[in-house]
Amino acid sequence: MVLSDLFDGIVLILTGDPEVWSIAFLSLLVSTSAVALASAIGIPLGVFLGRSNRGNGVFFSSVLNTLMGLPPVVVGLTVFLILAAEGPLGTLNLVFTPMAMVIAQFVLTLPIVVGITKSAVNEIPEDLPKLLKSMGADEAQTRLLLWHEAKTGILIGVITALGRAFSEVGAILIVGGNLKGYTRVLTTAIVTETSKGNYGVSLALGILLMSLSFCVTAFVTALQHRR
Amino acid sequence: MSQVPRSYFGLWLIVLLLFSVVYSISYSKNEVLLLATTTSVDNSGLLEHVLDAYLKDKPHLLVRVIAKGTGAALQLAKDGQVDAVIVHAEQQEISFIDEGYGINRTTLWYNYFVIIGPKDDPAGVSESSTILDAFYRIYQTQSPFISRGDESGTHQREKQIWDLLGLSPYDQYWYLETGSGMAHTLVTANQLNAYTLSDLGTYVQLKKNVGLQLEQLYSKEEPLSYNPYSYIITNPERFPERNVERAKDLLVFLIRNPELVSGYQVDGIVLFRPLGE
Repeated sequence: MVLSDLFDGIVLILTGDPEVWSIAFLSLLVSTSAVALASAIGIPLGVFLGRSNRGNGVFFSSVLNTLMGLPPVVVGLTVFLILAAEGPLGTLNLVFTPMAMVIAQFVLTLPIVVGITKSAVNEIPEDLPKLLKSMGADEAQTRLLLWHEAKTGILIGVITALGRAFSEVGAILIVGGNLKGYTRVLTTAIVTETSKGNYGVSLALGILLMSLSFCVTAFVTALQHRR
Repeated sequence: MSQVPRSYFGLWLIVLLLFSVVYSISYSKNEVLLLATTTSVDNSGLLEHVLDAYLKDKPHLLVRVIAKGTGAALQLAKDGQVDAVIVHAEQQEISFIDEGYGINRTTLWYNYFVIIGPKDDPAGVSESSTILDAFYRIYQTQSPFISRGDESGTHQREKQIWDLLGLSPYDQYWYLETGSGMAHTLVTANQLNAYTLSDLGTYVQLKKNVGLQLEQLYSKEEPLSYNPYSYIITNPERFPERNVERAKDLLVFLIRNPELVSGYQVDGIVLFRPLGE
């Protein structure tokens, strides 16, 4: 029974059902926007923390590591309360919009990017800059070479953040409200369809979600492998 | 700035690009009506059916539906997050109006609560004379019972029935709460071969989708199983930014077009009846 439902679900996706595709598009948009912003802010922050000797203590690292595993529902609830009509940012009218979902996923993924970037930079041997300079590299060349050294590790942070964002459901459900045709994304659509007993459609949406996630991750992985 | 890799500026460019798209989606020029409803009117497909008819000649209007239990829907309205609600819990609705949060409470549709349970019916619910009798049998035989436990209209009614019986099953081993919607509760009851109180719409829809093994064991029409759905508009004096005019317009449309509801069937069963029919 589930198998024939699954078949129907796959047909729905392949025949280009506009609702399914707009849901998939929003998933892609929200998660990549959040991770792009988290990377734009988090990578420099992580590089800074990794290079300065501050921020390497056990306490600070533990705090950062805990933040990397923030519970999505707690982030969702907190962002919701801040953005809600009677909250401090209520006048922005952001609750139940895609923008609110991006904000929530940004909060979730920023610590991941910062934390993994920091440890990637930490991995670089301390005397490597001196070595490079002794071999005749100028300041700009040194920095570029160091960047290449850390790049693989930093992009692992971005890939991890993307995985987190794509699979996340708790936070965007609370701040987005799962509004049909507006803030419904693949993960929340799967919750909705499962609760209605449409298991086949849910499974098909799950396959679509994983395919999208694969495409985006493959793109970043290609960047990682580029010399 | 030579120390910053060029790709970093590219990254900010991507961020700007993506955010302008998110921004334009978030603040569309279209008129929006936000509606919080109980899960039953949404899960049963009724809402989509009537809204499609309403939106036919209104291309720039978007109706956004948040389907939660009655308790959560009313809470959203109290926080000024929605323009109108469709709910089913009389006492809560009345205090919502009394506290000045809503106006124009109008009962639009009704159906009857049903008791769903295992085919072999160990408690003998199908032989009961009233819904009170049915609940008493479940309590007496200590048959597994799954409660919504989410302050929804259905949950309120269930608690009201236990109260009227003077029974408190809440800490009994055979009494479980899911804390979630009707569909999920029915699926849980199905897995555990247990009884539950349900609205008719969600049960029929789910019976079709999932192939529930459970049967509808009690469906008598009596005051205690009467399940009216009301439409309430958020009080504009309290929340002037809400789209009250549109909420009123939809209400008038729903009152004038009862045939949309009486004509809506799932598997040949009429799920909701317009008031006055």
